[in-house]
Order: sequence, then structure tokens, then C-alpha cells
Amino acid sequence: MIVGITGGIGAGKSTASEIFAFLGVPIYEADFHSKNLLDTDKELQSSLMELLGTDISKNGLIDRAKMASIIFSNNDLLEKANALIHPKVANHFKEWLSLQDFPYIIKEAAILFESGSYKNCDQVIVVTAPKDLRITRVMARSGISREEILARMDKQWPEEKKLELANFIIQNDGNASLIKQVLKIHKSLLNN
Amino acid sequence: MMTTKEPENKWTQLKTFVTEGSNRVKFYFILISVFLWFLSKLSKDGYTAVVEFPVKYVNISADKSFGRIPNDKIKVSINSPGFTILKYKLRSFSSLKIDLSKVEKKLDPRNSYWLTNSDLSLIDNQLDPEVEVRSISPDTVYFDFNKLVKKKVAVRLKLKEAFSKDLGIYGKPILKPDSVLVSGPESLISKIKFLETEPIELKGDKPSLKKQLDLVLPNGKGLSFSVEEVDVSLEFSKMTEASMSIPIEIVGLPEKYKLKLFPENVKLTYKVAIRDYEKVRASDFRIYTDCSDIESNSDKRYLTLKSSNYPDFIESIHFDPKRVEFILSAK
Repeated sequence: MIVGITGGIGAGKSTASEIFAFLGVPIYEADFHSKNLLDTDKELQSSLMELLGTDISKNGLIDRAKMASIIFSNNDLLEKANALIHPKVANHFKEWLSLQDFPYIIKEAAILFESGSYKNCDQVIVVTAPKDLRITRVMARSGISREEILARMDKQWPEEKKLELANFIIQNDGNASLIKQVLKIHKSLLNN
Repeated sequence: MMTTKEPENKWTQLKTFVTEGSNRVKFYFILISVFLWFLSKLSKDGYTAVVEFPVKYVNISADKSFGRIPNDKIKVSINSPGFTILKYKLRSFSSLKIDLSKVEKKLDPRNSYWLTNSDLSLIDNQLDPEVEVRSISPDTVYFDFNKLVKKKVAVRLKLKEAFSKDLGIYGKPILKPDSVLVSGPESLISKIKFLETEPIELKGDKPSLKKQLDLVLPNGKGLSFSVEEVDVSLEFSKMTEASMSIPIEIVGLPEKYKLKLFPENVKLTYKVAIRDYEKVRASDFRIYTDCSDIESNSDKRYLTLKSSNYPDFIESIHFDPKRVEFILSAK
């Protein structure tokens, strides 16, 4: 069973995933593997340079910051770049999945909904937190400005839309225990 | 007209009576007699009068000062020859001295009041030998003593708004001196935690700055400061913001347990001069949680994170989260 876990920037999905990992659940970090593929997959690198220009290459690697600055200001290029990256990540995921033997696996992705990959998940967990708390967390851990965080949030789906499609919701507002919520979901998924 | 002339006539008649003929001699005798009678009366003992004296408090302990100045005048009821009373009444005298080194020993330590009439000799000794002090008013003098203390307090540089987002002060500002010896009443000294300089506006148009700045001194009676201005030296540098992930150190966990933290790392952000960027290592920082009381707090849901060991060339340090969830299990 594939269980997707997602949440807006600063919601705390990585911490929730860490708890699942502690319980022995295999975790696939889609963002980590897609970055890794950008660094290692020569075919993907060539396709991206063909699309976005050779300027996005730096010391034989894709300069992710440069690529982001190009694609996030041009929706057409964003779609085309995603069309190159997502199938690669999907293939990598399939290979990884074939090696797992736990009753379910967690696929962690920041843009699970936005990329459409939630459609391939059997269950979806959304980690949510109040907007102000998310902004405070991101500012504290990354030092980026409030405006910049709000701009990034705007590029993600609205929280309400994600919650509508969620099978499980984890409240990470600093009051409810993450561990207790994860344990409850874990039990429920094992009994499925 | 008649009414004004009449007193003039009486005065003329009296003048004539006193200055002319045998009356004149009589008058002088009467006058001398009255004067001798007066002298004779004044030279006798047994006159009682109340005389007001200014007072001065001397020999206050070196570690004390007055918060509120006590009575500066006292009224002394004395018994003495009339001449002496007359002398005290007519002449202004130097202050009576209240020797606090003698008085303090008798003071109630909490209320600090002096019962004046229990110490008549203290005043008596300062008056003429023939004077006997009967009583003193007020009967109680209250002292509001402040304990005098000395304290060394740090000087802090007060900056106006950041002059530029990318520029910062390189290293720590050099302040000479960097601390001030403040002395004064304990009640005032205890409130002084540090002293700030006057606010300084930094333009960052030069690589460094040297300036003499006044200290902003708190108001308070009896406060004194070893210096009232400091020399400041600053160096500027271009700053950059950086972040790194730091593993949380677990301290004080009893041997029989193992602990899993969620998350196990914190994200640390800081500002550093570009020239020092490469110098920063994760090992420069220490983020830890103290679990020594974990057994006695079994219902605890979070562990609070603490930090230490920041390199001094780093500033604006933040880390997140500030507390973590955990799973405690037996080994």
C-alpha cells in the first residue's frame, strides 16, 4: 500500500515521516530523490539543458537555484521541466517500491497534490499547521523573509483543498502530540 | 490739629521730666536699678526654656547614606541660668552634631529610629556646662538609611536601526572601558543591570569607526560612576545569512534507556561575515536536551532544547524547533 504524506511549507511533514520511519515504515523522500536524480542522471541533465539552456549547468551539475529562477517565472517551462523530471522520479520510485516488504510505505512529497502523484497513492496523509506558525518555523530554520515564504505558499495548493482530499490529517500546531497521531494512523493502516 | 499736637506735648513734658533738674538723676537711678535687678535675676539658675537648634548628622557609616534626610532641627528644653538662655535665644549657634556612630548602635535594625530622650547626654555635652537638658523634641527621629554598595556593570553599545541589510559589525565592538564601577544606594544599584551608550547611527560608509560616546546614566540620588563616557571601536564587514543542520545532543539520560527524538536535528540559521563564512563548522555549535529528570516527569511530552558554544564571530542565531517530541524505551 502506498501512503502519500504531504503538507505545506513548514507544516512538519518530515518530522511526521521520521516517526513513521521509527516504527519501521519504509519512507520514500521524493524531493530528496528528485534532487539526487538531477545530480546523477546524465540523460535528465541533457534534456533539461536542452530545454532551459546550458547556463543551468555548473561544474557538471544542474544549478538548482538557477533552474528554479527560470521555471518558476515561466509556467510553460515549469510544466515542461516537470514532464521531464516526474517520470524519472516515478520510475525510481517504482524500482524502490519493488524492494519493500512492509505492509505499507510512505511517500513523502512537498507537491504530492500539485504534481498529481497523489493519484497513485492508496491513502494520503496531510500534515497541517496554522499559517502563522508555519511561517515562523520556516523563518527560523531558513532565515528567508516572510514575503518570500508567502510567495512560496502561493505556489502550493491551498491548505483547505489538500485537506479535502486527505484520508488522514495530522495537526502539527504544537499542542497535539505528533507521535500519538502517527501511532493512531499507523495502527489504522496496518489494520487496512 | 488739636489731636496731633497733644502727643507732642506729652512727649515734650516727659523729656523735660527726665532730662531736667533732680528728676534726671532719679530717672538714671531707676534705670540702673532695673538693669542691676535684671542682671541679678538672669545670673540665677533655674530658668527653663525651649531652644531650637539646627542639627547635623555626622559619622554615618561608610556603607550607608540617607534616603530621606531626617529632621534638620530639634527643640531642646533646657534648664540653665538666664544669661545662658538669653545667649542661646539671641545668637545663632553652629549646629548640634548627632554622632551616628554612637546613635546607630542603639537603633532598631528594622525601623531605624532614635529615641532622642534616651540620649540626652549626647546633646548635653555640646552645650555649656551650666546647662541641663531636660527633654528633646521630637522624641523620635526616623532614619531612612540606604545601604551603599559598589557594582561593576557592563557597558553595552546602543545602535540605531540597522544601517544596511548586508553590512554588519565585524566581531564584537571594542568598548574602553567595557565596564563601569557604579556606587550608590543598594536599592538603586540593584536595578542597574548594564549601562548603555548614547545611540549611535552607523552609516557603514567607512570600513571602521572610532568614537567617544556618552553613557546614558540613570538618575538617582547618591549614584556615582567611575566613568561617564567610553571609547568605541567598530569594524564593518559584509554579512551573509547561512544555515546548517545540527544534531541534538542528549545529556543526562539514565543508562537503562534509549531515546529517540523527533526531529533529531535542528535547523540553525545565523549571520556571519563573508570573510568568516568558511570558518563555521557544525561542531562550533551545541544544541542539547537535558534528560536527567526524565524519569520523574513521566507525563512529559516534549523535551526543551538548549544551546551553547556559539562562536563569537556569529550573530543573529536562531534554531528551530525549540522543543522536540520523543520516544523513551528500555534498552
